[in-house]
Amino acid sequence: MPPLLRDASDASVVVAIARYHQDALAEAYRRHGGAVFGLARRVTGDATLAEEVVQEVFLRLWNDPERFDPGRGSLRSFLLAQTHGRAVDFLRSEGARRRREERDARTTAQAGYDIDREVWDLTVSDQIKTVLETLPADERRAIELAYFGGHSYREVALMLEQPEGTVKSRIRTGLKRLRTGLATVGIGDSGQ
Amino acid sequence: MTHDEVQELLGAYALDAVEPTEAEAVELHLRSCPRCLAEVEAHRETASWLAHGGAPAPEGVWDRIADRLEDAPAPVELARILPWESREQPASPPRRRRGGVEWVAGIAAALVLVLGGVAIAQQRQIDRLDSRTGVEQALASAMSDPRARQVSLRSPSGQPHNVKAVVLPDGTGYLIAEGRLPALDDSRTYQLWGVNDAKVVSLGVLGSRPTIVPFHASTEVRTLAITEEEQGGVVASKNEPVVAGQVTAA
Repeated sequence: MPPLLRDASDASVVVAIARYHQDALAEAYRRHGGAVFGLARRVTGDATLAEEVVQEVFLRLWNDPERFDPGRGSLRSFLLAQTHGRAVDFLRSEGARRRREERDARTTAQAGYDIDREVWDLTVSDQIKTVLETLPADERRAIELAYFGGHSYREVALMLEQPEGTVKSRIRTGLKRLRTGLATVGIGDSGQ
Repeated sequence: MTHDEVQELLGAYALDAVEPTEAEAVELHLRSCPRCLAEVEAHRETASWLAHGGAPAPEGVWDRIADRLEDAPAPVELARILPWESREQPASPPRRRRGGVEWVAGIAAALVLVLGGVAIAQQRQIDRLDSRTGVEQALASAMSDPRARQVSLRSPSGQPHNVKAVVLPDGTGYLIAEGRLPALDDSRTYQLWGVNDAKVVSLGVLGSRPTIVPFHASTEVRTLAITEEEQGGVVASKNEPVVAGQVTAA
């Protein structure tokens, strides 16, 4: 293993992964495994499924490291996009969604709040929560249902009883607004 | 789907919140629209902050991942493959790891010969054509030329980078590396080499993210190899090839 792997950029870590350095994959896992698992669990609502997603995402990075292009974004963003896609795939398989809906109904009835939401609240930084809270409620809700709920914009439109076009537009506008807000507190870049 | 229609979908697409048919239409559009592609990437970057999670991944998951890596071929190091080539004086009984790897040793050995002192490498920056379309047209024309020699460049360690090249009888060649090599830091570059017996000649510096690159190789070149180097390239490489492949007859 390169002695300075811990100090290497994500891009250099991926180059080392392409050369079959297992320690480099371990380093990528150390850096991003927690976020990958957190998102997978938040979306699927199931720790076992989330662990499967984590394994798939890192094995895919091992097998196809060239799919990551550092010129197009961070490794974290790349891994989380993969994670989200796989988690949504799992969720959209009928059984998983049914199990999750049953569990959500149970949780809400018993405790009145979403346990995953609570976990998420604990791990997301105050800065990001503050920025998220500056979004208009409609935009924030649409983004949350799509991203964390794994719902399509059409499903979100039905749930919020709003036109599909409006929801589509709110998701896009909300993400842009969020990006600008994050940039103002020094997270991410200035955006477009 | 029009550009405007696709644009409206980009936020939902970045969050995996579109129907499969819509996703296909967006992906088709993204291939030819860098502006929309940049927007999707920006949305994903933004969403990744929402997923912010400081908690470590659960114990045991890494062990399961590591267990499944065992089947992957181990990294090939120059020192370990060189003895296969020097059959007259094997330092140890040659151990054939995988079929199809042996020829790589020749390239590695040839690269080392260059290190021996004869700096015959020619340093030449590839003359990139301004018009990408022009390159693509020239490539398409070369690919359909029955006299063209095809080269499939593969990793000595079995990593399926699958870079291809085509070489015309006059030595004009095109390397097709688009998305097939890991992108490098800007301080690094890929470099293309032509190998013939003990001679290794630089055919050009490819940059950190090569796509389709024209080059010129003498008719004597039997093998093409790509190494990773410091930005600007080197006169003679100390590195093992990232990928290499033999120039096969037309």
